[in-house]
Amino acid sequence: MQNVQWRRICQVACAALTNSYWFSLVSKTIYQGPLKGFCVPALNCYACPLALFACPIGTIQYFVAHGAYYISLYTIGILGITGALIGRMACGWICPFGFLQDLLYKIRSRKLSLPRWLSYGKYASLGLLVIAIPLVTRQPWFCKLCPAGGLEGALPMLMMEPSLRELLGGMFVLKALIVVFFLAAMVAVKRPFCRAACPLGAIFSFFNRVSILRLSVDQTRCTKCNKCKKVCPTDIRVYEDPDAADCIRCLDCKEVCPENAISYTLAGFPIKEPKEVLQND
Amino acid sequence: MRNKMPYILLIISLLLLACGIFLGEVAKVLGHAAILCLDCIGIG
Repeated sequence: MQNVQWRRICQVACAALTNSYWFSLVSKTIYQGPLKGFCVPALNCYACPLALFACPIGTIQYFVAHGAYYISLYTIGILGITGALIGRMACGWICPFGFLQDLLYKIRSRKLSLPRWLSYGKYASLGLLVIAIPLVTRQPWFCKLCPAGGLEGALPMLMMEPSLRELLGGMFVLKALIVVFFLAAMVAVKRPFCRAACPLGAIFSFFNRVSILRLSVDQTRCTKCNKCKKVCPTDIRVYEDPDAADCIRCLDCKEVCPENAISYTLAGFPIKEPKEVLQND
Repeated sequence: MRNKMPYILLIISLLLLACGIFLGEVAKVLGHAAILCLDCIGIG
């Protein structure tokens, strides 16, 4: 089985695992059991009726806005462990919102590339919307604007619970416009939200250069054919910087490389797959 | 140093996680996440 097929299976399994409170369709309430106390290392809105776990970004904001000491040590610990082990791999293999972006990009349309400077947007999103503004206003501003929350939380809840519709105002209109904008962008651009706006991606990106799992490129073998860039969900040239902040460790590039120049290392040790070992022998 | 960095980060993260659990953050997260987040829905 190809890497991309394994990744799809993993994405579907993780999306199903984190969103499987089907009883909400009958009860019309969100899950309130003990699992909600645990954060998943992915952007998964806890206002989603099916969600079983908490969103790390929502949790960080809650502590910034309302916590006694402003920092959620527990959430930072979970994200730190994930980042130190696998860097941004959670974005490529676990995140349901990343999965949605992968699927929407498959729709046939005119494709556009994202200007590189926009990839700094995720750091602005983390610094301003998740930390600075909630600290001052005591309001979770990223959650208010988050398109994942709009799609996973607002839409199903408003369909299930008509009484909520009476409370809608200008904030909802703004949120709906952001959802529509990103959905349209996802069809034309590879993972626009991950690359330009996701604060969780920004946090994980700090770990890419130092994580235990890392990519490496054998420059003597690489012919710079750009096949890696073509399949890359974040449009990076792997041979220029295998540990780039935008790399989501999907490992699709490794599979398409005709020269087998791309490999990954665990704790500095190169990992060889069975077929590579056979080829070398 | 770069080879040791992930392990240092891993240990720091484990300590933060343990501190967070010891300070009762799981219960705080549960208390917050178990209530429907109106901000997430676009109300408020």
